[in-house]
Amino acid sequence: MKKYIVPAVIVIAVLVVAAIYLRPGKSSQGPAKELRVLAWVGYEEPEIVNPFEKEFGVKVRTETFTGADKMFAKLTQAPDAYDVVVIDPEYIQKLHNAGLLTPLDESSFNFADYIEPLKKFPLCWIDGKLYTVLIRYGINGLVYNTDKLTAEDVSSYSVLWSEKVKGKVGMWDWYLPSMGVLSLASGFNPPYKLGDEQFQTLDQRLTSLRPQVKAVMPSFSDINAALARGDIWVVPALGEHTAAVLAEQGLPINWTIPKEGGVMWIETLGIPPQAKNRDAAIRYIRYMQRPEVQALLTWRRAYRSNIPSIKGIELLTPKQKDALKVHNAAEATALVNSVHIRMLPTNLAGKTTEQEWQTAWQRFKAAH
Amino acid sequence: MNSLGRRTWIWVGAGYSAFQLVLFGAPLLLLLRTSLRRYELGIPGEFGTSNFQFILSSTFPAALVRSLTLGTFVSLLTLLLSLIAVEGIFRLRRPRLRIAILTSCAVAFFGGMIPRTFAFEYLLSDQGPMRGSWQSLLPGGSSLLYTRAGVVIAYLPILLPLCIVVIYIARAAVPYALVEAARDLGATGWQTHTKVVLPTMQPGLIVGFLLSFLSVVGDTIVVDLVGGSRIYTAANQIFDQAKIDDWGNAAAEAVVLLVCVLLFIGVSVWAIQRSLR
Repeated sequence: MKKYIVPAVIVIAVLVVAAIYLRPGKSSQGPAKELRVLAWVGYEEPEIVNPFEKEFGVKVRTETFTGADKMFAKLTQAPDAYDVVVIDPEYIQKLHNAGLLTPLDESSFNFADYIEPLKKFPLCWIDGKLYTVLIRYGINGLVYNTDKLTAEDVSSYSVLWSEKVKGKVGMWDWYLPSMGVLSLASGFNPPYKLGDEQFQTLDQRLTSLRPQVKAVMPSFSDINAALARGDIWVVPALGEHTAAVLAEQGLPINWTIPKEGGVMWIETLGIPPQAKNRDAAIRYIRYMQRPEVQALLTWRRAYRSNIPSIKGIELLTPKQKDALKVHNAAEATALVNSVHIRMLPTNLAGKTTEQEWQTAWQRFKAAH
Repeated sequence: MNSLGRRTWIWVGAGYSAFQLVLFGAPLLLLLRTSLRRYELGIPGEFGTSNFQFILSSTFPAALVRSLTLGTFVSLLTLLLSLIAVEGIFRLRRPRLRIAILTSCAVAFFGGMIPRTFAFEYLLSDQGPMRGSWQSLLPGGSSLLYTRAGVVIAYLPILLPLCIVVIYIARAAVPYALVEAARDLGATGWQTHTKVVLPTMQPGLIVGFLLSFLSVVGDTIVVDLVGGSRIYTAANQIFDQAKIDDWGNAAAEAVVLLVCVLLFIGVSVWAIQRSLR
C-alpha cells in the first residue's frame, strides 16, 4: 500500500492545482454585469474604461490585439467570447460574410455630431443596414525626419526612390496600407481596385523599392524606435498615429499626405451575434461616441488618431490639434475628403485579390 | 522500477501516451485537416491539395532553405562557442565559481527572449553604446542592426546560456579515468579532446545543437526585430499567411516545416543512439 502513497499525493496535488488554476473567473459569475471587449490597444486604458464602469455599473474586460488578423482569428475561434469588437474597415465585410456581425439600430447612436463625410460611412453599411459604428480614424501617408528631408522632398512619394534616402526607408510590415500608398504613388486611383496590368506595375514598383529599404518592421514601436534613433528617415503608410507620438518627445518627426494622396484607416465597433450583454454593448458604443470620450480617444498612449465628433475636436488642446493637423470640422472634412478608404484589394471585376497582394508583399520581403 | 511494480508503470506509461496523443496528436490532426482546405477571406472552402501546390510555387521553398541554413549556421556557431566556454569553466579550480557561472547561464536563459532581443536592437544600432566596435568590424562602417550578421549575433546571447549548461553536463559526464588513460598512453591534449572527450560528449553535443536549431527555425522575433526582415524565413511566411486569414496555406507551410523539423529530430535521435552503442 505504501508504494501508492507518493503517486497518489502527486496526482491529488496536480488535481488541486488544476482546480485552482482552471476555475472559472469571477467574470463568468455574472454575465449581465460584465462587458467583454475585443479591441486594439488603447481601449483598455483606465481613462477610457473607468468612467464607463462607474456610470453603468458594468465591469469592462478588454482583451487587446495588435493587428486585425488577430481579432479575426480570436473572434472566429470563440464567437461567444466577446460583446463588442473593434473592427478595421477591411474586416467589416469579412466578419459579415462569416456571420459574425449583427445589424444595429441606427437611431440608437448619435451621428449628428459627426463630420459630414463620416455621418454615413459606406463600409459600415451592408445592404442598407448599419453593422458597425465608426469611432475614430487616421491617415496612412508619409512620416519623415524633418532634419533630413524638407517639406518639398516629401511632397511626392517619389522621394522613396531617391538617392537621398537610399538605405533609409523603413517599411511597416503590413501589405495593405503599404501597398495601398504605393498604388497611389503609381498613379492608380482608386488604389485598391486594380486591373492585371496595373497590379503588375504596382508589383514592379514595389520590387524596385527594395534596395532603398533599410528594414521591414512588424510594429509601430519598432518603427518609432528606428525613427527616433535615426536608423530610418522616411516611412510610407504611416501618419499622425506615429508622428504625433515622436514629435511630442521633441524628435524631428512629422507626417504628410503627398500629392498622390493617402489612405484612411478607421476603427469601428460592432456586436457579434453571440454577444451575451448586448444592452451594455450598445451603451458602450454610445459612450464611445460622446465628445469627451472621443477627445480622450485621440490621445491614447498606444497611438494617436483623429475622431469624427465635431464637439470632440473642439475639446482638443491646441497642441493636439496641431499634431493631428485638424483644428475644426472644416479641416477634418477636408482631410477625410483628400484620402481614400483602406479596403481589401480587388480586381476590376470586384473579385478579391488579397492573396496576390500578399504574395507580392512576401516576394518584396524575401528579395535582397 | 521494482518498488512500484511493472503493472503500475504500464498504467503510468499508457496514461502519459494518451496525454501526449491529446496534447500533440489532436492539434497535429487539426493542422493537417486545415492544410488540406482552401480559405478565402478567412472562410473555409473545399478540401484538396491546392495549398501544397500553391506553396511550392511561392517564396516558401526558398524561405524554408533560408530557415534551415540560418538554423544550422547559428547552432554550429553556438555549439563551438559553448564548447570553448565549457572548457574554460571546467578548468576553473574553484567549484563555487563554476556553479556561479552555470547559475548565471540558467538565469540568463530564463530571463526571456524578448527583453534580450530589444536590448540587442539598441546595442547593434547606430545610436548604441557599441557602435564604434561594430563599425570598425564592418567594411562599410555601418551598424549591424537590420543585417544578417546582426541577426546571428543577436541569437548568440539567447542560445548560449542553454547550450553551455547542456554541454557542461555532457562534459562533466566524461569519466576522468578515460581522460587519464589516454594521457597515460601518450595522447596529447588535443588528441585526448578530439579522440576521447568529444566523442564521449556526442549525445550532449547533439542535444545542444538540436535545441539551438529548433529555437532558431521556429523564431520570428529576432529576425523581425533585429533583422528588419532581411532574412525572410519559413516561420515569417507562415505568419504572413495567417495575417490575411489564409489558414489553409499557413497550415500547409507549417506541416512542411514540421516534417523538416521532425526529420531533423529523427536523424539526431538516431545519431545519439548510435553514439551510445
